[in-house]
Amino acid sequence: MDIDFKSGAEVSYLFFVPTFLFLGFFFLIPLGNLLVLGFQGFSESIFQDPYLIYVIQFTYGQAFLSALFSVLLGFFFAFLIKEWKIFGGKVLWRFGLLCSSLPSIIVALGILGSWGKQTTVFGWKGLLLGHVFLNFAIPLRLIGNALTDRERTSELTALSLGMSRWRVFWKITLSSLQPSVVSSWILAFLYSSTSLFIVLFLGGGPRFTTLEVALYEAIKLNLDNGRAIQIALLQAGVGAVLFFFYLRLQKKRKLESESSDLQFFAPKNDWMRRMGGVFLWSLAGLALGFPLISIFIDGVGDWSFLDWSDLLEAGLTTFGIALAVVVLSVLIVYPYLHYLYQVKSERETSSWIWLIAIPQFFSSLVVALALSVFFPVVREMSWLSCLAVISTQTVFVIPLIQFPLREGFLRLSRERNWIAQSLGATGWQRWFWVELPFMRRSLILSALIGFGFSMGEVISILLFSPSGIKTLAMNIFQSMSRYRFQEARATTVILLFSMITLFGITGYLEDRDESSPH
Amino acid sequence: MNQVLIENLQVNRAGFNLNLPSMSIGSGDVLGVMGQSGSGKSTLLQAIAGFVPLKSGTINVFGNEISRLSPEKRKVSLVFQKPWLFENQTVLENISFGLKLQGLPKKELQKIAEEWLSKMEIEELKDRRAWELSGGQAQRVALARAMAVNFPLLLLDEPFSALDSPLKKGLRKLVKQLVRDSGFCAILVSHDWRDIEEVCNKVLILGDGKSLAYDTVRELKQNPNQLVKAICED
Repeated sequence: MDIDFKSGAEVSYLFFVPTFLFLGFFFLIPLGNLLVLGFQGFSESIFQDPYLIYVIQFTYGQAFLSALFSVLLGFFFAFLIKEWKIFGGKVLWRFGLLCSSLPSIIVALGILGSWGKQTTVFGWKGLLLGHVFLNFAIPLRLIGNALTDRERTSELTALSLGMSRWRVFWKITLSSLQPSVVSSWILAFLYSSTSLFIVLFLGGGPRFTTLEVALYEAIKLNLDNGRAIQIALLQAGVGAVLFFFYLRLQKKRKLESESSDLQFFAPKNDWMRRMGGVFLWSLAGLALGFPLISIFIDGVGDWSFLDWSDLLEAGLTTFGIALAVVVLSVLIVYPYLHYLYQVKSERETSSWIWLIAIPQFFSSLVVALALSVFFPVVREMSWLSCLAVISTQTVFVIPLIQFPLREGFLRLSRERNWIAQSLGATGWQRWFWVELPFMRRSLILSALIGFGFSMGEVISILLFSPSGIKTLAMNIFQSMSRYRFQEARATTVILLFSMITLFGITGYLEDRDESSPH
Repeated sequence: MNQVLIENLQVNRAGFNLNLPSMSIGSGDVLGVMGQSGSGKSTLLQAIAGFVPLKSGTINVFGNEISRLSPEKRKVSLVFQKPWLFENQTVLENISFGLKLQGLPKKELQKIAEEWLSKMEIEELKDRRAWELSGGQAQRVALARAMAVNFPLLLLDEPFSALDSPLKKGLRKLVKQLVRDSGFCAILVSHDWRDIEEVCNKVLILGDGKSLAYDTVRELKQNPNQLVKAICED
């Protein structure tokens, strides 16, 4: 059979269609509409409101500090785990990743129940503790992976020429880590500036209000969509600028196929390595372990007051929504990445990644507001509001699952696909026999990440269905809002248990993934 | 007799032009392709395999014009510098992958795959998974996988360059012998003149997408002009 290369390429454009349709319909067009409305109704009076000016300054000031502390702590952890190879490093790595995946509402509850009992945490202390707890795993993972994957020839050459280890680290290693350090700072800054529940429960008053809280108040309490759109416009502007810089840094990202075990910066004395390990474990115990343990200690006990049928319903709804979100997001991202990595050139691939990465630069409230303004009918019909919740969560799961899937496709490489094709395999045969077994771990990892996110998500449910949809995370939020902390802690124990189980499976799969160098 | 005829091949890929006059390869012969990085060696192999469209020209393999066929119908097998074995498959399954696609009965394909295990001297590895193999073992499996399908043209893109010297030497001999015995035609891309000298009958030297020299290895060794010498020493 003759083929025409041009028509073959046109057919494969079909892989782009679900992604463009979904993100266009549920993200880009509603957001664009919100921006247009924001510009149309924009008045300079917003900048003459001294309270709002204070809120803007406070939002980005606390986000700057939170991101700075997160990056410093994440760098320190990543360096000691990857370079010093301290004891229990892998467990600590997983534990850090688990912490960052916890819903912020659980983190707020944990900090209140631990440090909140020892001292007053409301204000700066609470905000920084909460944001560092949630965000330090971003630099941990990005910088840690960059440390593992870095090209070590220049360091080896410099050391062999007599350069000191300190100078090698300062001049060579640090500059190779720069893109991951800046990327993780951008993400931590963004997440700290758009977090809602940490500020709501640990801020402690109008002095500690951020733009996200002001947006929440405008939508939920004052029902002032005009002001909400103005605030959303400001947030979206900052998100867009950060996204531009982040994308530029991502183009520098590459996966070294041959990672090396050479350690240049490990301490010469074993006791130093041990001391480093003890210090890191103590720090992790105080900053991360203490809040989590307090939830378990306070949460496990007399559960007679719990309404088990209500909890079962919430659990099943949580699972159902999470399943729908995971299936939908995988169906949207997988074909898109398959097309980019198997058909397009490397240059074209890096210029099209923006589409699936962009949603993470806008807060859940902004996206949910954009959807509710563009589709006002969703709040009136319960089945539509359920769809809106699933769509909003999917918009946010897409940028999260693209990381493991992209790494899977990078490792798969198009040469492997070419070999199968040259041996006579058709498109479906290649997908089923070569690609799918290879991508299985990345797919499971993505599904688990999606489950983790969806199980803890509250904002979309709060906005689209205040009373209609009951999930475990929503139960916790409602209990906390009514100051029923014991009930909140008990539900949190159940949610935490399911998430820890999910992360145990993820860790096991990641271990297996690392054992296949070809 | 010439079994592979490549005539007036022209490829245009992202601003890079590859223009080649006619070339031919006899049954059991290996054509070596050398040249500096970016000279078009890998593009030539990708064009023959069907992964890069031709602007013009024909590729005739054992009487069949294949240049308009899709890659999976060309019957041209590939080996790269890295083995790119299929994950989650055993060595035996990797080797029999192409045979399974040809619809051979299970018994027959197992027999052929075991013969190739024996030719490559890796019988003891047949139940191992891809990630359990060393670099040299994995490359032998990759070669067996490409040759077991019995396709008339084999394309080798620097298959020895990641191996250490003793392994390289052994594999060069093995490839030369297997191609000669089977009657395949093969094209070997390499940076190393020793690969070409030991395995190939003819050699094509590329520079910036054009043919700088095309002759038998013996002829080029006896009368090397300065340009060829420079490229071979590169």
